[in-house]
Amino acid sequence: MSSLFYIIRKQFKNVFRGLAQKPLALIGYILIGIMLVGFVVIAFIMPSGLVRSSSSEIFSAGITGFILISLYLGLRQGIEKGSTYFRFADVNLVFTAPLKPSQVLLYGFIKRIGTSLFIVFFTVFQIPNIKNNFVLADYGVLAILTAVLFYSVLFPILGMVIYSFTSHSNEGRVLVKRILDVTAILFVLFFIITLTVKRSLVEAFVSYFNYEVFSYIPIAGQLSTIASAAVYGIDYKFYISIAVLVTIIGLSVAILYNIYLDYYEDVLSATGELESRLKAKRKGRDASLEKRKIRKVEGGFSSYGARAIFEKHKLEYRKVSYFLFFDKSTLLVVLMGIGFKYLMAEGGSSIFFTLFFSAYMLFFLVIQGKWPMELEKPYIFLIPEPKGLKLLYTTFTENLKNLLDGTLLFIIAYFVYDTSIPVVLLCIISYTLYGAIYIYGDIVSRRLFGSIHSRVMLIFIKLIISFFVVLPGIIIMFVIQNITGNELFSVFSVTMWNLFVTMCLFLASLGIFNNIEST
Amino acid sequence: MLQVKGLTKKYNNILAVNNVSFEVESGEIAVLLGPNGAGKSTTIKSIAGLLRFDGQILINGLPNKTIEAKKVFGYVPETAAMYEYLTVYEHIEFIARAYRLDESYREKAEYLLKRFELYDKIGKLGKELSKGMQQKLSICCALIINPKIIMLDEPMVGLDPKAIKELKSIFIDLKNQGCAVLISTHIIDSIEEVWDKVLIMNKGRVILSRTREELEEKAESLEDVYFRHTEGVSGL
Repeated sequence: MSSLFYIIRKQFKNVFRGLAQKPLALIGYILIGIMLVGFVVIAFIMPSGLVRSSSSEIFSAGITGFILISLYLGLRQGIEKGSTYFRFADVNLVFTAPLKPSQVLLYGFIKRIGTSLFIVFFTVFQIPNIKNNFVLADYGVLAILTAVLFYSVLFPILGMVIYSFTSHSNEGRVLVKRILDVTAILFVLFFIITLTVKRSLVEAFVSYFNYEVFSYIPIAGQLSTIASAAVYGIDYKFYISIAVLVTIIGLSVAILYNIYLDYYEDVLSATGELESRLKAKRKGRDASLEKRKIRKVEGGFSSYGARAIFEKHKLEYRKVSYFLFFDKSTLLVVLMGIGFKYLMAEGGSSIFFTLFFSAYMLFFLVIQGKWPMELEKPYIFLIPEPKGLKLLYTTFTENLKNLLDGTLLFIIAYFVYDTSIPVVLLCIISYTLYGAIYIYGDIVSRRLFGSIHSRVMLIFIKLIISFFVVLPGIIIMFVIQNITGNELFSVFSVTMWNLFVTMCLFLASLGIFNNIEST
Repeated sequence: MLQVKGLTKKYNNILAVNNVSFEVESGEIAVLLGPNGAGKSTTIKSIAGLLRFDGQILINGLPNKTIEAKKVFGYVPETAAMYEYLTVYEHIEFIARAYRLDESYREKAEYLLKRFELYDKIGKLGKELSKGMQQKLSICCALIINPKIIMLDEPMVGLDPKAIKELKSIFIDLKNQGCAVLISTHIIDSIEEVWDKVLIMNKGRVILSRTREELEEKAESLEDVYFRHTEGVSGL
């Protein structure tokens, strides 16, 4: 066992040692650390219900709904692929070493708790948001964090247990999957019945997920009770739920530890999945893209030179998107951009709410864009074309996609808000330019901080840079809005600012494809 | 013709390539031979224009990073990196279009794909290819542009015996067509039959440069010379 602790200890130590050798990254991490501590302090001391005081029922319904869906998806994935606490290095070195599988399992479990604590730490970022919308009870923050901790520890172990039991018999696997699916269908049917009775989606949702019966569903019920203590207060149910979850974890570990120790093969598939997900994440790719179904597409190239890069991207998009460049991200942008209007405290009276919220969301979608995948291959550096054209056409697809997504979003927004066509047109252009700012801002960040310690750090830097770059435009817009009260002038000013910034960032990005060290 | 003059490359404070100079004539097959970490890949990557470096690299008399120079050299990386969502044939089509080749490339594509036994897999996606098949495709992509100079970084790794045989035969064809070929490898056997000039690298320097004739005159084998020089005995 000491050898396994040695791995954990050394890896932990080497992360800090690596950081010490990169002062810039260290400064960045210190800044993130200060921010996190700030958020922890804010999370605990800030008063809740500042923006509005949504009902506790909405909170508990949201939590229960989320946990139930996660449990269904988690168990289903567990049956298909299992779950893992391990990495490929563990598979190759630890699994093959003369160590007891029970000790190896314990080692994996300890590693997982470390990761879970990390996840809990980052949940703190969301606490102020929750506090803005709900009135939390005493120790409400602790209740949320406890639920998150149990959630992240429990799900992988459940995946491992269910996979261990179902992986050896195809009939068994199909049967368990069917039971799960039928249960899910029953839940959905009951929801539809509630919806027909209540005739309001929000009312039906709140009423349905607050049914007492849900609190008795193993795992989901206890997790929901623990999290809901954030708004209802901590009582005996909270402690009972903790005791039940600890027992479930104990039993699951005991099953794997004592009864079923030949689990090595069962975690292989999930480890492979985890590795490819982490690889995609490191490279800034959308991990779900790896699993997407690829459509057969006829005919592709008709242009020469750098334009062929654009045609290649277009071809790749045609293989994975629903129609034109519309895909999952389009749906997300449109649903959340429009949905945001209804979440706003004052009903989101201006189209600007949608513009800024969708622009904020766009940041996270753009950082998973297609163009960075070019940097993984040598071809983009080798193609004998001028650097400006290479940059233009490599990012053309992303810009075009943002234009099309923006067009769809703001056409719908036109019918939802009381606004004019010129304002909508400028919103589309402005949205597209926000996308361009993030793309070229990403390139500039890579050029400046490309060799930085981690991807999380790089995203953080990009977020900060993007924030300071777009902020003046927003300030100018609000000043003009206050002075003139004219939506058109206001959105025109922010569009002009975005255009100016895009041009500057494009020029600063020009050398990105000169060599692989430019990133 | 490839000319490398005083090539130096540092990664942070580590000197990966130290003042390396050599030439590869048209119609010559040169081999960069050396142990792991000798600086072979860094040298090739610098010539391909993928790295910043000090010194001068000329491709047919032009600096290697100019558009005109890029038009005439092909590069096969150490690890094939293909586009996941392009088929085998779309890769070739993309390179041909990006390099502005005329339509005659289709004939050559068919010839190359058949030679590397990829023709029956032209509809397969990059991500569906095995490592060996990706390597073959990567070689086809470099050859389709009709290079005047070609650089191959450990090209035999992952190839099956038939593909290795084909590749060696292609080296000879390229040589006969007047192409300058630069191959980086640490497996001596893999290039024994084809090389004209050997450049043995160690610790970032070219420690020995010999032609096949020079070795034959002294009745020395490449393997003997390699081990004598990489294991500490001065040779230049």
